[in-house]
Amino acid sequence: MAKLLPITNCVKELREAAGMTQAELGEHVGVTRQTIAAIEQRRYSPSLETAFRIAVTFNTNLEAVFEYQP
Amino acid sequence: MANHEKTAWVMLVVLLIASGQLLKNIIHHSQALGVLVPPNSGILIQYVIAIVVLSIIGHIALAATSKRASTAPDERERQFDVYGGHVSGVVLVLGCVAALGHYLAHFDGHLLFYSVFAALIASQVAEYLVVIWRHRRG
Repeated sequence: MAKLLPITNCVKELREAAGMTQAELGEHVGVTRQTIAAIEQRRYSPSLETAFRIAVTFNTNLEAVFEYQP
Repeated sequence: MANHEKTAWVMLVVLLIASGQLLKNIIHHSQALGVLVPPNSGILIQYVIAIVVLSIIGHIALAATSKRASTAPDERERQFDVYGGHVSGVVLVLGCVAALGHYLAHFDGHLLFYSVFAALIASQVAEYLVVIWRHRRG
């Protein structure tokens, strides 16, 4: 199993609460469904721009979505 | 499967088919001559045309079966491309150094040409394999 990255997130919870699919969120923020899946599973840390886009999509701030856990 | 990965698969298969045919041609001509056939533009032009035609067919098939086949790679996929390019460069350098070393020992210019050409093909194959591997492991 791939090593988990130190940036945790609650993208999955926010996405499910908003009733969105991974593909819909991906289209909204400009990445593929596979990239959203990788972000949710902590296998990929998005760029700052994509992280902001995800936060804006859920009408929240960056810190509410992503957290650094060294 | 992401379109980026599908594209890598298509190009890998195209490259392997065309390169296999090229190898078959070289072996066939070399057996007829009794020595390694000198590099000639005819065989290489056939190879390039085969790659172009097969990759066009592959991409048309991909576009016909996928809604988002034309989209550009996203940030994660671009990272895969960068890493694939890095590995590809290493394979090319190793292949060229090995080919040059062999030339210094045997002074066979024809084999040098084919070795460098093989290194080019191997580097491209390595790039596609790395991209596919990175997609597969997540």
